[in-house]
Amino acid sequence: MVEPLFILAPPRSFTSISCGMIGCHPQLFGLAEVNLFAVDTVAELIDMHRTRRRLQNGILRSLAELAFGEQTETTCEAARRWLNDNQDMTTAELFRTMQDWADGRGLVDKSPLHVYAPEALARIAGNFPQARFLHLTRHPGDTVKSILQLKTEMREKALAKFPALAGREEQVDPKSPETMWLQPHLDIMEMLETIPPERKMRLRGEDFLSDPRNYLTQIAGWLGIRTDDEAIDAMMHPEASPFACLGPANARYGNDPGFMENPALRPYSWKARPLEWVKPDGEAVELSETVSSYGMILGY
Amino acid sequence: MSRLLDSTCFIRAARGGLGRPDAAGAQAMAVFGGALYVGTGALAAGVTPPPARLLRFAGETWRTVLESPTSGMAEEPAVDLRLAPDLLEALHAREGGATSCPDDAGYVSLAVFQAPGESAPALYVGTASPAGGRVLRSADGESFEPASEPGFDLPAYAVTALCVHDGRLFAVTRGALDGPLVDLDASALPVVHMCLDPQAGSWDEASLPGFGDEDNIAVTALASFDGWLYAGTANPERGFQLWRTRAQGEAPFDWEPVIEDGAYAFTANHAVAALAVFGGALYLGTATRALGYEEEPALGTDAAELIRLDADGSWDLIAGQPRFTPLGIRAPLAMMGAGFDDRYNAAFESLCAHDGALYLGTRHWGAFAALAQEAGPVVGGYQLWASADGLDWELVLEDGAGNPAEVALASLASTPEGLFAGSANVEPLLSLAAALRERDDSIAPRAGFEILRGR
Repeated sequence: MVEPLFILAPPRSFTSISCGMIGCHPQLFGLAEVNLFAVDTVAELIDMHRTRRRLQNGILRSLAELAFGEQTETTCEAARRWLNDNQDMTTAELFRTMQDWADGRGLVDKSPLHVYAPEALARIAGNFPQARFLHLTRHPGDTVKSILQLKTEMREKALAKFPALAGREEQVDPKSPETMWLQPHLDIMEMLETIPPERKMRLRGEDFLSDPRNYLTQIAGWLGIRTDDEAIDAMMHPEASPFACLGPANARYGNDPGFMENPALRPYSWKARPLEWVKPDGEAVELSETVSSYGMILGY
Repeated sequence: MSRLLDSTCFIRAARGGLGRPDAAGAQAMAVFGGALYVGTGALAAGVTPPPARLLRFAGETWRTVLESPTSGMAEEPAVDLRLAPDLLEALHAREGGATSCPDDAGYVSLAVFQAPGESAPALYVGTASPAGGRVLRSADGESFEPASEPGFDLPAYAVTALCVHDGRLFAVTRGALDGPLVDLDASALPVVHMCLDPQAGSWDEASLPGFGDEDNIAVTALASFDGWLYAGTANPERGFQLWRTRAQGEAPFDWEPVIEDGAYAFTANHAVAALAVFGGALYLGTATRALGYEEEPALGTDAAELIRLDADGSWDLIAGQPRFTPLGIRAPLAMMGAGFDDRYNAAFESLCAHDGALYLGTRHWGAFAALAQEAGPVVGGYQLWASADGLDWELVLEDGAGNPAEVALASLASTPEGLFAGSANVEPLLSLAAALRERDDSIAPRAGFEILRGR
């Protein structure tokens, strides 16, 4: 059995396409956003889903795909019931069950909630001592810009649905780079200090997308799985991921909407640019000294 | 078959700064005329240093062959602007009344070089001085003459590396002076200097500043290997770079990059700390931004790495953090992480081939980190490692050979009389840091550099 791989990064750090690519390796299975380790037990997971219903989409789709080989309203509903019947399980036991269902393939996880809760990272490290960790990075300014852009889009959708919200201007937190980029990276780096060197790697997402075949081959080699052309070719098609599209009506989401809309690899190039971030109003602001310093450590 | 020296092979050939406990470092070593020469002094600390001395070890005795005059040329000591203000204040309080400042605070680099047309090699000394470091020359190892202008006519604090390549002498400076303050991370002009005529003291610039990259703030190491002159940089924005040139044609020569972006560890590999040729390859020790005398470095817990470069320009990671790179995956061939699996090894500061083996001296800030704890032993200090093949490394000495104030092995030299290792001692800083933490009782560090001999 291939040990699981956890992709750790703040949101909007190329995690969806990365998980899509890596998870298409014949010996791997890239999950939707299951967010299991944000809590300890399935009961707590279900409780979390009560207040944030969209969060259940990723785990339902993943369970349906693993158990039945397809995501339909029926299989996702069956997955929901199965979860309800297994509330005593710990989330680690649930993950191990999913591993068993994956027929020896290694699970690839990129759940966004994991990086906002240090206890989630500790839970993963404690329960899966053989797991590997890919710390994925993106330019801090681009990360923040992308998160804010997504927030704006979501707000616009909310406005369309609830016109009464119009007029309430949302202030941009001047500490957004600290909260959205720096803190998750610090938590990730702190947790990874406890992980042996051979089980953790760091990669700039920009490098990955600029030369995906090169890095996919390296990642496969690191994971100890096939590096032949057929395997790497499969990884070059993230659109083949079962989570590269919207799910059935009762579990539509569970992945990045932008990725699901446009999941195929596209030519990508980048060059180093200043350590600054651009507010939604277009104002370019220098990143703080601390964010910049960590930005430089991570290669920006 | 080479024999690795182990800890039982070493004795102290010098201790306590050889009669000057305030002499902080045995910074440079070279064999000239059959004797070992050791340059002593401090790069900068903020208090009046003792006069720099050049010592000769022959016939089992030490003799001072050169001591810096105190002519008034250097009006006040240079202050390392990286020092924490509270430590600096405490240092001044400890120093007491003003004393005269020697012209030279240190003799920090040495080389033996025979210029074209000369009948015998001469000894060259790179100095550190608030008035500008320069190069001194001696034909007999007794009398010394200037072989360059102070600072190469720039506010350059110290000539920190000298290197002979293809029958020519090259030098680099470190420490950008701004009044009494010195930025030891940077160079006043990050170029490689080339000596045109040592007796006339004329030099030319062999490279563009920073090799054309303004983020290369200093050239920190030089080496001649397989017909190339190599130069390593400090780059706080993207990590060190390694450049090389055939040094042919008109200066400044054409240089090509060999390693960039801190070997893809970015700013975790801030600078090249040491270069040495061994077994047909060039070995490169890196430095993080940790100074070796702070309780917690400002950023992260990165430690030094060791890289092996082959003549064709390809390189392997010997010890360090595994990583993906554009060149393929780089995992440490020695199966050891950064700092040889010790996060307190902030720099692999000295490298030296000796008797068929490669030796590596570290800069280790463990004692300062230990002080930050409320209790527990205060241990730390340099480590000496050895390898017969460059791949398998064994720890020879640790914890500053019993003195936590010995934070680094600043110099290593191979001689027919054995391997010599010179330390950098920060006893004043360690004692003051302990006092500020009210942990004076935890330590009893000894002051002054030490020189070990292994055979």
